[in-house]
Amino acid sequence: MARRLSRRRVADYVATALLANDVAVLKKLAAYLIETRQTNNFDLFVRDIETVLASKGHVIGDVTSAFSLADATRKEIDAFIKNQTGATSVQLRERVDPTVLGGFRLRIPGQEHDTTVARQLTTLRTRFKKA
Amino acid sequence: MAEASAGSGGLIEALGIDWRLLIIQIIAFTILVALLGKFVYPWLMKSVDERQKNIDEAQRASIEAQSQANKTKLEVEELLDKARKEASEIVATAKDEASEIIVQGEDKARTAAERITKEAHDSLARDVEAVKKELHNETLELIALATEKVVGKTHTKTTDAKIIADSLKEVQ
Repeated sequence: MARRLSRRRVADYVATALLANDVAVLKKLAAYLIETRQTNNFDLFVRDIETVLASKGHVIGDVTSAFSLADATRKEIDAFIKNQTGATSVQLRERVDPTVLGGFRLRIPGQEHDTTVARQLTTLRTRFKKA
Repeated sequence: MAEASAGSGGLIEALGIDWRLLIIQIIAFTILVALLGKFVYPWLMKSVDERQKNIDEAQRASIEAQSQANKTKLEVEELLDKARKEASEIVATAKDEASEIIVQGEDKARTAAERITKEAHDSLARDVEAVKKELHNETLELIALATEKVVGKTHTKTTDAKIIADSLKEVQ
């Protein structure tokens, strides 16, 4: 049975391997999680790996918008992330969700920017609501 | 002189007085007086004295009783005066207490009325405030719903791209 390692250490190892284009490390990670029965913590490992990658200049962000992003918009978001984090490369995971109505929601390691219309309406409902 | 005594003797005789009988009667009278003075008069005087004494005692008792009655009358009058004064004081005190009770009752009633009025005002103000809040919140909800509907129908990919661009400029 494989020895359990700290999540931070595993993330650091996987991130370093990925930056070296060693995609096979993902299989090792999967095997490790199965062996150590930590598959339920998969999301936590992914988040930690993304955090390590961000610290090394490679930011992976989740963007949610009501419509698919135009190229110009995508570039603007890319520039925004680089400006905010100092990253050298940015990779976006895009998701279309009509319930956000408009605007966009961006999640990157350690930060979240939500300028969706749905969020603003929620703020209107909650912040200005009298108890 | 002989004539005079003859004259007086003649007069007594002329009056029909018998010397011997007169002397006997004088002696008998003297004896009677002596007997009365010896046996009757002392008893009679004693009886009279006792009676006088009783009368005096009765008179004294009467005077004393009269004095006592006067004294009692004075005491009764004093008591009556005192009772009248006390009654007047009691009545005055009762009036004062009644007035005080009435004033206190009025104060209590006024206080209670003011408290009830204040509570009613407070309750009304709370209700008004609650209604205002409810109206405010419902207005917010309506605005949000209306915005959702309008944005959902009018928003396009182009306008969305502009919104995103504006948002990026704002957060930078």
